[in-house]
This record gives sequence, C-alpha cells and structure tokens, in this order.
Amino acid sequence: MQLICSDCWNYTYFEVDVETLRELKADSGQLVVQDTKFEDFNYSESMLRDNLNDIVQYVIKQNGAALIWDPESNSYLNNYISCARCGSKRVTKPYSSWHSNRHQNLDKELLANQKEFTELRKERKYADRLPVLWKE
Amino acid sequence: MRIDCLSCGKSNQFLLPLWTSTTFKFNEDGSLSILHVKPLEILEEKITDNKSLREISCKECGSNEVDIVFNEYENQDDDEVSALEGL
Repeated sequence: MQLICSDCWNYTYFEVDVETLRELKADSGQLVVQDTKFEDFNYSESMLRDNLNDIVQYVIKQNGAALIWDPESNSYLNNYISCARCGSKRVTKPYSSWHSNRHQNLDKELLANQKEFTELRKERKYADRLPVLWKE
Repeated sequence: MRIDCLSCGKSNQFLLPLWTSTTFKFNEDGSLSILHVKPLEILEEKITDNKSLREISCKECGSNEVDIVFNEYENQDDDEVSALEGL
C-alpha cells in the first residue's frame, strides 16, 4: 500500500494528469495524428509511462510537498493525484503525518500551548538556582 | 492543410505535447498498470489556438518556428481555381 484515499479508503486505483507527445503529419491536405516513433521506439508511450512514474514517485517521496491546504473542505488535498473510485483529492501516503484533519491554525495552537509554555519559562527562570533547604 | 517548418523546411512531421488524464493502479509488486487514458485537450482547438502554436515543434530539427496553412488553396487566382475545377 503506497497511497490511500481518506474518503473511500481505496489504495489501488488513482488518476493523474500526465503530459504526453503526439505526432502531427499533414498528408495530402489531411492532418494525421499518431504516436511519435523514432525508428521502432514508441516515444509517446514511453513518455506517458515515464511521466506517470515520475509523478507517482514524487508524491510518494515528497508527500507533504504534494499537498495543499483547502480552507473550504478544511483538509489537505493532493495537488497531483486523485482517487479513481470516488474522485476525492484527499490522497496521501498511509500513516501520513499530513493527516487531512490535523491542520491547526497557528494562533489556536499557540493559545492551546500557552500554559505549557509559561510552565517551561518558569522552569528556566529557576533552573540555575540551588534548591533551598528547609531550616530546622 | 499544410504545416511548414520555417527552420529546416524539410520535415512534414511535427510534435505536439498534450495533457491526458491517466487512470492507473498499483500492482501487488509495487509496479504501475495503466487502465485508461483520456485526453484533456482538444487537438483541433490547440492547433488553431495561436498561443499553442509555439508548442508545436519539428520532429527533424526540433525548431518551434512552425507555420500552419489551414487552406492552402485560399489565395489562388480564379484561373487556377477554374483550371483545377476543370480537372
């Protein structure tokens, strides 16, 4: 399992936009469109497969970089790959730290951690002092 | 219709990049299989669109200096047209 859809849990079928190359040939007034071939090598097919593989490997490797935050749906969306079953763009690596619902506003995060930070600062303030012994 | 390469003038084969929506699946061994390929751009529109003209390149020399003549008989004299019609 390399990618998973957070909406329908599909981990097999996906869609991606890939650029490929076609050959145009103007022959006796007609336009012929066909695969690009250099001798016996089909360059159109090869380019499609290579580009597909490149995008998929990029998304798997740079998981976070391939995601964009969508404020409307309040979740991360994959910029390149979508689910072929439900059409959702909430496609990530499994066990990704970029979980769709994990995004938190910085102000809210700071506010939530304010108390902990205050405790931390107090620790630092008294950290260089020796403990006071109780007088008998 | 005629396509001319303004750089080498020899080739009648040209290359045009096109975006496609590709449906694929992960196989058990981690490899990819392509299930379906759907073009996202209409070829005719792309050829007639002047903005996309620079994307067409000559297969022989790779030059983007390409001229497309959609109706090569458009500028013919009346005599030539009537002669062709007579044939």
